[in-house]
Amino acid sequence: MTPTTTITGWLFDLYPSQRGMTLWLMDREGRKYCCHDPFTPSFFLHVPETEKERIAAILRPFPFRIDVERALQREIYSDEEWNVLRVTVHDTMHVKGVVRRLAKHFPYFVFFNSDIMPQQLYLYHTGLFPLAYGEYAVGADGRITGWHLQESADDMDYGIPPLTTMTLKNRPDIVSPKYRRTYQLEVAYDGHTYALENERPAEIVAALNRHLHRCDPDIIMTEYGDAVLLPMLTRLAAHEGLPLDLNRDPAAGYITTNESSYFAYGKIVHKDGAFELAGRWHLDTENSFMMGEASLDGVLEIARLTQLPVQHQSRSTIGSALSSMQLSWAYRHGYLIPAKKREPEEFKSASTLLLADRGGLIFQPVMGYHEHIAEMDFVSMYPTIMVEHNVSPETVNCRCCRNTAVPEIGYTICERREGIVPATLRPVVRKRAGYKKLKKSLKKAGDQRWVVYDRRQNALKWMLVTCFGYLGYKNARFGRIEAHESVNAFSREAILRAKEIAEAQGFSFLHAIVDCMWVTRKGATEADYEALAAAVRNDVGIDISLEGTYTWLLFPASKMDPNIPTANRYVGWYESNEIKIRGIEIRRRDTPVFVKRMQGEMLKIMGEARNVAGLQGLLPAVLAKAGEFVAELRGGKADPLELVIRRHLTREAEEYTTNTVNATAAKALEEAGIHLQPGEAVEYIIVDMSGKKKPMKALPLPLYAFDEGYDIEAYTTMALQAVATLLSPFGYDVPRLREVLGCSPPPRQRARPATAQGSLFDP
Amino acid sequence: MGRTVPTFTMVIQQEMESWGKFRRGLRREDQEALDDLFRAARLQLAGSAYAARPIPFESIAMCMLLAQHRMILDLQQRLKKLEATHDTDDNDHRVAV
Repeated sequence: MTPTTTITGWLFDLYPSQRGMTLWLMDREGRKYCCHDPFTPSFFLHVPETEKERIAAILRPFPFRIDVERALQREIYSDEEWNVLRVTVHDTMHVKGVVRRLAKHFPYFVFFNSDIMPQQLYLYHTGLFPLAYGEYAVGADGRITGWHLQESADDMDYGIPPLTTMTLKNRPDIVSPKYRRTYQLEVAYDGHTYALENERPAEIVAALNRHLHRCDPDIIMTEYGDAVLLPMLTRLAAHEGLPLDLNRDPAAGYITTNESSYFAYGKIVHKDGAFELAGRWHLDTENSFMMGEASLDGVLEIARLTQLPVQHQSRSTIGSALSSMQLSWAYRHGYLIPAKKREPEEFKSASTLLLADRGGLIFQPVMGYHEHIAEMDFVSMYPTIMVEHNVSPETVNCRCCRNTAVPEIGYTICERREGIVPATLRPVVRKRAGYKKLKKSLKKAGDQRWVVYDRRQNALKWMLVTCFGYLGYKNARFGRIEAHESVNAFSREAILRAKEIAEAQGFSFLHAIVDCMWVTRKGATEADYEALAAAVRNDVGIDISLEGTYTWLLFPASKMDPNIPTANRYVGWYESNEIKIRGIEIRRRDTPVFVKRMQGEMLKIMGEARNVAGLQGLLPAVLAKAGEFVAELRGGKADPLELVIRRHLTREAEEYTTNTVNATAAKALEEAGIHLQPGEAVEYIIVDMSGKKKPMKALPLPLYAFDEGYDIEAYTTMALQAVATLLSPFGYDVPRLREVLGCSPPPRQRARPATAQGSLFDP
Repeated sequence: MGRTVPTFTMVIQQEMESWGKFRRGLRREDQEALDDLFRAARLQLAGSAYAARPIPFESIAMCMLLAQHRMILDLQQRLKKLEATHDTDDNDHRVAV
């Protein structure tokens, strides 16, 4: 027997290694302990027992032990026990290779649990989670022999270890380091910033090593560390034949993945490859959705809940976080986890398809300005539907029950067992509600800790927002289109009931998008709206909250057709003197800062109005403010850096066939030797929209010089459109604004004014 | 995103395009009136989407009818109001005489 010691602290980091799983613990004083736990991951093959010999033969060349044996496991859709072969690999670092070898001989649908990272499997197997706090028993050889956790991943009040952070970035610059050939690195810790400037690469590597030793950071926080900085530094060190101590564990390598571009929600998105460290966390703020949305607090919350190691979590999509919770649940309950989705859609009659394949309902807004109206939102509508109605891929149209639980389409929902989706969502819904409550009470009491809870609830919000999409996503392991359709059917029922209740109480229904609605009634008070919310809540069974009442609210016209409103674009001031903006220029990423600033100043003035008549009174002041900006622009005095337009590329530079502004900018960068992938952003300034006066329509930021100027007419049009968005209900469309603000129209032919004929719908 | 059934906004667009020849044969003023009619369908997406009728043009035509009738009702109401104020004007006039 070796003597064991007890370490009280957090599970900081884990990764596969020669000794199974290497685990780093950290105690309250910030001391780190490198331990290990032998772990033998296994996966399953659903093949006849006669294949056992063949499998053994295929795996014989591997230089480590692999066991193949019979096992009984449950299949989730049928809930039956299946006879499968369990393949246990006695080397955590080479599981992927074993799977890959077998995949050459067997189709993907016989594989189960085979594409889950060993560190994830380890956490599911042990029930541990990142930053789990407790007493860990460690033998003299560093082997973890047991533990007693003092908290669970569902806890809302938990401690965070004393983490030391070092930031590493390129000298602050308007251009991302992706587009740079030379770097000026800076490291910062303990409140000091150090420049890593030297002619000789060896000196830079040596200096960085010195800082790493002195600071011994737990977190290396970078900007573009994944894409540029760390790969560049390791290359530099290798070239100079020097060690670079980014890892805390000198025996481990780096975990890297390739960059990728993929489609998400109709947009092409680019993700940099990962560069993960061992015994330290490398977090790249530019390559992490969650860091941007909810900062480190959010990342840690999701890592704990989903049992994804922190570095991996910070880089993963919300979808993989969500699916990790489902995998853990399935693993714990002994269900087989399909390697890839394998449940095809059932055949449907054409009429079922027509009824089923629709999204949530949208009631087009009543265009123009409104006063004293209320906005009400169903709280986490989709997840609540899934949890309350037990909607899950294996419960919809189950084989055991007979009912027509789903409205409109009459699908059956299982009454005998709880589905995997509701089971994993329930704690998320509950936790988020808890955090929101905590945040509210702390904020009221003036306690600064409310920020932490707000970040955590925000991180969870993203999981709830995306959970629904994953029900029908073809790559989701536990997704099935019928479940997705059922949730939609329930949601349509809910919003229609809400409309009926509101109208029965004399409210008029101005606009609704899936789970929120805008209603008004002459003389209604906040209490009246609260009463309406209570009535809807009672009837529908989903919580609905009064987001607020607006002094005024604008539903602007569509950009394509000024006689048509568009959903989900609005701006208004709440009675509480807060502004809410959706979809108009000031909120859009592709609007130049200059135009945003102008619209912001206009909205600030408009915030003084208490009703629509008040707005009308403020018009001269609002127009004057817009005039100031337009004059600055037309005088050539606007700061070009405020005119930068940021757009995402949809394809490779050479794939662009038309000569759009995006295309010219991408091609110019390509010629300058800077290659951008689809989904990456390109930043440029328009210098000649017509393409006649200058060789280029637009210049990418890295190639721009201040004496290039900017295209006054193009930017004037952009500015006037932003003004018209706010003022066209008062008769100020773009042509009228040109007259009022004294800017002659560009020589091009003017488009036919849209309101040439009285619209059918003008009262 | 792998939709099997197009959104109703897309259906309206397709339907409008299928009336392209018809539209081309109309006078400019009538073309604009026709566009206005199709706009009626785009203002009532929820009803059409929820009903999901096999022949979408039925829903589109119903939206057009609905918009027309709404306008008639509105105009009737405005007319009534105008008549009422006109009558009182007359009365005032008579009293004044």
